[in-house]
Amino acid sequence: MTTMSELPKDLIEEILCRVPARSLKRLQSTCQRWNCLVNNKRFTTKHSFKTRKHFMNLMYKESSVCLMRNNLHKSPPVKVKRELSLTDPHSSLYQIKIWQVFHCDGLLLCVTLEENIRLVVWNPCTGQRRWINPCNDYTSMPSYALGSYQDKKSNDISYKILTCRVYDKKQEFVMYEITSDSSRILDLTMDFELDYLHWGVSLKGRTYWVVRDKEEKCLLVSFDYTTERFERLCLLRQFTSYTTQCLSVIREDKLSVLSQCQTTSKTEIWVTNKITETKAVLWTKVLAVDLDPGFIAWHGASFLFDEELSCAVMALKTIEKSGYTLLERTVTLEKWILKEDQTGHFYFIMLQV
Amino acid sequence: MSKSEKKIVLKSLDNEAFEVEKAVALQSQTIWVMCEDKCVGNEIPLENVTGQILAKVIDYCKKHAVVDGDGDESSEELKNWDTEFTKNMDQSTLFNMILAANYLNIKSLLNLTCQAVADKTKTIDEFHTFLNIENNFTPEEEAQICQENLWAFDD
Repeated sequence: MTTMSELPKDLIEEILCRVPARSLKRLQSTCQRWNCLVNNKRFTTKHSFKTRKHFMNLMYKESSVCLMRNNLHKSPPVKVKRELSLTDPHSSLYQIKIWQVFHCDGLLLCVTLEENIRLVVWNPCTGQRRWINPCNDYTSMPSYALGSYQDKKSNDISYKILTCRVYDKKQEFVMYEITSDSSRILDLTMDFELDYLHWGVSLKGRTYWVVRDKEEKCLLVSFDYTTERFERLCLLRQFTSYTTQCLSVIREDKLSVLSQCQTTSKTEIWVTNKITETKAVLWTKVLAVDLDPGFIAWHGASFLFDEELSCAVMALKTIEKSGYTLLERTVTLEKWILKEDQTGHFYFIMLQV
Repeated sequence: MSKSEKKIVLKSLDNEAFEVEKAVALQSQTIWVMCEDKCVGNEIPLENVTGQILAKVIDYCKKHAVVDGDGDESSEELKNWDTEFTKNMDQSTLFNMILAANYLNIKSLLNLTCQAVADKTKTIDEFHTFLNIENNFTPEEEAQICQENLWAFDD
């Protein structure tokens, strides 16, 4: 009878780096040896690379990040499981307000707006965080994205932060490398603009955005952190020039977009085929619905679409009839079937406070 | 190449001999190096692997020698075959397979078997049993780590 303790240390590591993060974290609290291992940088890198991903569904709500739980067998199938809070490096009592969050491979890039813009790359799984003070020399709010690339020789995964800022009326792209703590300006001229409202999403290391070109057409673009180049992928459906587009990732292999006409609240959800480097991106409409005009999505709003659960969760704004104040809310789940598609598989669940 | 050169004999720890196609055996980097070095004849002694385990390793290599490099559909089929392959193995066999895959240097088999153990080990207690470890934290330390990792503990 062979047991795990008879295996050499490197083989035990091979096994443990495939154990899902959740189980590993539980294990961590039971033995100092595991605690050291789980906090070991080499191991965590290997782990993030090898383990089967638990799909972290995150939504942003009133300056904090919510981890969502999707479970088909529960009612409601989606709920806010926990709010992740970011504490000040100097005082653990002081919670820092997160202004924007970007999610890539289990790492969060948070933009905080205290006195200045500060960025933090945060691994909520290990608690590790790295504060970065970006150059605050801008005339408009910059847009940030976190992406990864694999070194061909060493196979190591490294992370980079792409900043798009407007400087002297010109759009400028700055690449920050986390490992070497160095920045440089990229020589890129684009015929579209990335503004801070259009937050991208990360899929397999690349970042995807919905942008508008000079002719006001909506397109999907991606950025590759290895070649450091943008790629125009395809045009997106637009109702009018007043269309809100929110992008979201489905189970780390597809993209989905929520398009809403700003004047009528007519809303559609489209889903792509599996995104690969070679195949063209194709969109399929999974749902069309006329939302109550009081509920509006905004550019970059949090939006989740789960094919298995056949549901969509959106962060919406409600317009109060008196005075048109915008109340930003992430609404908790109240199953509200607005409309089914023809197959009856997809229905729309709206979250309501 | 004559017919005899295409075949190779693998001999296990307990002297069981397996005649296999060279293409099948060469998925093992260890065997590949041995053949390259021409330090062995047509019979390769594998001193760390028992016949029972070697038979399973050869099954795996045979399956993967045939299907590797084909289109999408067969890779799906191969995946299902892999799942079935490890599904009914007990822990002890799996650990021996890991040791064999490591010794023979067959990356994909090492991946598969390590993943199978990781998937089968669901609870902390199971890990404790396998690894023979004891909780050596003080209650305070344990509480603090639990607090930091609350998200992992609730449903």
